[in-house]
Amino acid sequence: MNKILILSHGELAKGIESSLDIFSVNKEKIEFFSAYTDDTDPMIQIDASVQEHIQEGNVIILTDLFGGSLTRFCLEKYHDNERVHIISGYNLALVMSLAMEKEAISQEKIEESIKQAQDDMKYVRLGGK
Amino acid sequence: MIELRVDDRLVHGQVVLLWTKHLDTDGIIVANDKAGTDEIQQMTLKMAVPSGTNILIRTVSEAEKLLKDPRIEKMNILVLVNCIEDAYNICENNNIDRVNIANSGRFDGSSVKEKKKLFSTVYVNQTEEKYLEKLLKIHNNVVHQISPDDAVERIGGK
Repeated sequence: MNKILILSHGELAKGIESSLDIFSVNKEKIEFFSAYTDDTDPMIQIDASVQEHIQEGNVIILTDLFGGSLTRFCLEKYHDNERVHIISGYNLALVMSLAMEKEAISQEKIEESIKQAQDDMKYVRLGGK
Repeated sequence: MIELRVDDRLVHGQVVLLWTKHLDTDGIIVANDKAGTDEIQQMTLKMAVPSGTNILIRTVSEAEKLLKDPRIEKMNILVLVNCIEDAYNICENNNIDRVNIANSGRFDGSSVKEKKKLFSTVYVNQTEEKYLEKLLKIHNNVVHQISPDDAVERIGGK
């Protein structure tokens, strides 16, 4: 079973949670962390969750900005743990695709999901692809 | 121009996305004793800046030497430290145009409850408060400005 942690600067993660509700996506294996909304160190809660779920399987951490502090802190903490996968710059398409994944996540699966999600970001024009 | 920024997170979104653009930064120097000697942290700090942005990671004393280089003095440099003590030490030994105490004391592993709140994102313990006083004695352009869109709040001075 994969656990997905969705991290954000401010309430973006909470917004993703609301969007998943609209699509009736099962959120049982997803946790949401809106960081820096108060003076607590977000890594304390995030790490507690990682440590809890790492026993049972893979943990996928989604961060909102590649160059943000959350990405960096997670990478520093979990770079040598092969059960923790970090993906930055998530969008709704990526979250939904990972949430629907029933099998234990693999590097290949992650890369495939990212590719599909990246394809969702487009300059949308009539007749364009 | 050399801008020194106190930021507990060193390199992060606010810095790489907003400040480097605003200051038209030629390069970032992270001055931090832990980062200067920790290979993993160096790798993650380097990854966090957009490609094309130069970043050097040094211990505080190495950074002080580096900042004396005449070539550096002609560039737009953003120096990042994560505490006021390090900012003071650098200012004592180098010409820094402006010191921005932006984010400090919230994510250093100790509770903010025992600290004095100066701004919503700046908390100081006794040691940091002492270094702030010392800093204000030797530098007359110390400010608090979280993002470039925020108004500049002067700390100390006239």
